[in-house]
Amino acid sequence: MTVPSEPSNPMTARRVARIVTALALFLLAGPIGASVLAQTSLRPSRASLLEAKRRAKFQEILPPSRKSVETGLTRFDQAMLFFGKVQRGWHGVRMAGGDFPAGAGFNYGVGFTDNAVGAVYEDLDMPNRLDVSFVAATSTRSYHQLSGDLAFRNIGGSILNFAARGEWHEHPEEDFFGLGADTSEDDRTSYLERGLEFGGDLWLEPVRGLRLGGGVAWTDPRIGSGEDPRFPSTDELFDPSAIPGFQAQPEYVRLGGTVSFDWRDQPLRPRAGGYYGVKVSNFKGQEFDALDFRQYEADVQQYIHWLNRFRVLALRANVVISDADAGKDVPFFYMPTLGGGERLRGFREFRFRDRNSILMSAEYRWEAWWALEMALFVDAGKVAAERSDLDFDNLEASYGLGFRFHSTDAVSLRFDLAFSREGFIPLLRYTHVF
Amino acid sequence: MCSDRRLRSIAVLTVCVLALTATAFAQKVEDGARRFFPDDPIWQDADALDIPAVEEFPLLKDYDFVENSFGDPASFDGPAVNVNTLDEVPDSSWFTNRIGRREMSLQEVLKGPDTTGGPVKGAWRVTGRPWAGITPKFTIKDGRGDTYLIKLDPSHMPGLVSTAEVVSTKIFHAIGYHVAEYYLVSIDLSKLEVEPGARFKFDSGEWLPITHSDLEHWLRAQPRQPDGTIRAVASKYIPGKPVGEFKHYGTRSDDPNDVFPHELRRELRGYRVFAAWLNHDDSRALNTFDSYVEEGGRHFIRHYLLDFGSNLGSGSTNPQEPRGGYEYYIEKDKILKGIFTFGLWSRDWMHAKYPSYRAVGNFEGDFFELGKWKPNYPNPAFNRMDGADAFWAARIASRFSDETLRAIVAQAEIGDPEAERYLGDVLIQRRDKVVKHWIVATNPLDEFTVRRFLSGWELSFDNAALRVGAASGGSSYRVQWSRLDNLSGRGESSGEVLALGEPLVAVPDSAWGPGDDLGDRYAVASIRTVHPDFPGWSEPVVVSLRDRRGEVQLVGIERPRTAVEP
Repeated sequence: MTVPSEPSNPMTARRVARIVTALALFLLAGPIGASVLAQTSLRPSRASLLEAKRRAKFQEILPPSRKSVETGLTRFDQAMLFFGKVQRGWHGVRMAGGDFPAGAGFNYGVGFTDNAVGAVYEDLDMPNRLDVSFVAATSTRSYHQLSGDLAFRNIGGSILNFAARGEWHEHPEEDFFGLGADTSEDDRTSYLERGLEFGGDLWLEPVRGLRLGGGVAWTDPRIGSGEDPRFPSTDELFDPSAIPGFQAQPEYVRLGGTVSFDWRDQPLRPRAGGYYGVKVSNFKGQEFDALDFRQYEADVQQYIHWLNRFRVLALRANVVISDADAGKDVPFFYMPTLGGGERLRGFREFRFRDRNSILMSAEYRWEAWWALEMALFVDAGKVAAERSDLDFDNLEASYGLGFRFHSTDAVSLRFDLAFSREGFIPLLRYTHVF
Repeated sequence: MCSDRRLRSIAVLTVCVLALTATAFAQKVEDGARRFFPDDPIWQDADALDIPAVEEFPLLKDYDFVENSFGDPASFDGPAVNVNTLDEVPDSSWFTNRIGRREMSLQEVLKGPDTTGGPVKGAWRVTGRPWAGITPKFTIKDGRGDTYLIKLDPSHMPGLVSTAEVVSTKIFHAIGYHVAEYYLVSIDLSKLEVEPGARFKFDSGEWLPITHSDLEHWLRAQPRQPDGTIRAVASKYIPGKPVGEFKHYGTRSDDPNDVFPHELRRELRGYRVFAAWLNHDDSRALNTFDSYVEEGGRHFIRHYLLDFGSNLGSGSTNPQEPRGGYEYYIEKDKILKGIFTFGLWSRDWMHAKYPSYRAVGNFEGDFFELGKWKPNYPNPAFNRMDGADAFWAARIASRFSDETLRAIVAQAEIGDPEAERYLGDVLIQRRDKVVKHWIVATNPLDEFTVRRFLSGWELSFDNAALRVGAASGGSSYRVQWSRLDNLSGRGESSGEVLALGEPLVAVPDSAWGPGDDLGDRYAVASIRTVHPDFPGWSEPVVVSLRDRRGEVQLVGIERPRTAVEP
């Protein structure tokens, strides 16, 4: 008797098979999972790490923003752009300042400029170029100006040029300290100078830098009592009859000629080369000839590198001589003056005045920074009634330190601290001195 | 039913195991203990994930000047972070390894980024006149419809800008940067036409239609070549949408791909070395360009260097300022010294001598000193350049042969053999100075190679300073092996320090650490160089090797960060 074997339970067999399969899957899951993961972005890889970082940032992206200072600068830039537009004007109409002497106060006005009329570009070499400008300006000290300029350049494609100018101005607070070298700073007075002038000049430039020219002008100067409330009028402190031209002024016809040679490297910020010029003028009164005179001016400038091109010695000599026939005189308002921002800087504007003047300036300039040139300067000069007195005796002297902020080729801001026997004067100007 | 439940259980279990595995790996990734990943070293930084459209965000150049001149806007210090484990820069939207990693044929170097050969001959239609920048320029469309920016040389310095652009572009491209295509062109005024409707912004601020007489005026002062044409350089418009410039610090908040602070990007830090070599004093954010491009269906931002008009001896509209490359715009101490010494103290760069070649400008190599070179104002990435960054860059610079540089200069077609020779000489001289200065500043070992030797492996290397002639003879090496546990990142010294006379060492079996989760083993060699003239070389270069299933490969190089400048 054989015990029949218990028939196998098909369900049990399947269960066992499934359990075995499950166990096999379970055991394999780890390595397979790792393998699978290794092929996916979850794989522990450098690339997946970087991708994860980027995907995380993806969830947080923000539009770029500006910091407050940057926003402020943006607004400042926009304001400057707007201001630039205002300055450039509209179809030639622009803000304009007057061509006033120092001390006129803050000036403002409106102008119109059209350089190279009819052309898009301002090409200096363009034949028959026509430039036109008008200015109407006033100042906080009641200086006024109306003027118009017209210039024909390269007439017929030649080297010949012509310019015409008309101007009316009123300068009510011009300074007068007396005539001659021995005047006192305490005798500061003011007078009114009003003028009307029309004139024209012809000039030609046969070679680069050489300029030959001449012109004629009609002028009508008028002098009156000064209006500067801080100082007496000139006629209150001085005897008007002792000041040539104070009481009566003729209309003048002025004839003049100039010769100059300019080989400065950059006229608005010279660092090498030189300028040599002579100017001759003859003033002839129309109603009377008692104030007829001639005036001669020589100006020499030289710029010399010292050791390297970042140090410059700048030298200047200027002589003005006025000459009147016997019995005639030179009106005080056409006499050369010393003092102010360009001529004998340690003294006030128009501090010295007489028929003749001599001025010598020397500056040692060095580059302190790429945008800042410093200068040690000394000026010496004097005025004299007689030509024979134009010597080197008893020269007035001033000296000082200058800060000149500049672009590549032009001084844009000049701050000179000038000293003289009469004290200290800070001078702020937007042009170079020479 | 029962069977289904079990199968479901099995599936759940499987998923759990997968999840646990993933979590475990993710944890390893996150905790940073792991030293090397299986895909190290990576040579491609996949920073071209598809991103949504990006709006243009133009740089405010005044602010860039202010924030860099009066402070340090960058937030991070430390080593470069976008390098791979071999201390190299992977290819990315910022950089593509070229001459530094592989041989480039001369033809390839000279071709540079160029794809078209330049504007096709024939009529060019003038489409505009950008106001940006200071170099005179206008835009044209050629017969193919491609747009180019035509940049003119200063009329008194023919060849100045075009030479600088062509030469610099070829070099920066061969180095690996993304740059625009530049072509020398000859403009035939009679073949210039004006695109209907083309306008330009006049000096007055008005927008005016461009006329042919405008073109004549723009080109009036340009010197003519013997055939009556005008030399200029044409830059092909960079493809994609301009979205601004990149700064040399921080990241762009709307670009998910931009995850490495720029001040910690190796290619932006090492850029200082190349900028010094080529006197790229205008190497600032303004002269960069970000373009939102589409490639392979993905949209991302590609980063370019742009405008090399102020390179070499060119200052764009004039010869380079003598200050350029030697002094920041603002250096308080020097300004005060300049003021109060009344000119008795003069800056040393004031004594540099420059040639009179108009196409070369103020570019020289005798006075040039790398340690003194500076861009126009501080650059956060430049200021963070360390010895490893500098070595990376210097090594790339060393790959430019004299012949290559002279051939690049010839591409500028200066037309004056003397000037061409001079420019080539100076580029070579300055390259030599750059390379020698930075190669010797850290332990200069490179060219690491691991190969089978008998039944084991040996590691060889080279001394770059000796190779480029920056140092001579007398070097020996000290090697300390250690076992690396890759998962924990911990190392353990193995054996004694080995003294080598030659740059070759066998890899001892005892140097291998335990296998990691993938079974890879790692061995690390710290190699010091002993040289009587360069004590700084004793700081080791750390080289890591990986044994993966019996094959050994170089997987890591860590260079000293400290640079001891000569």
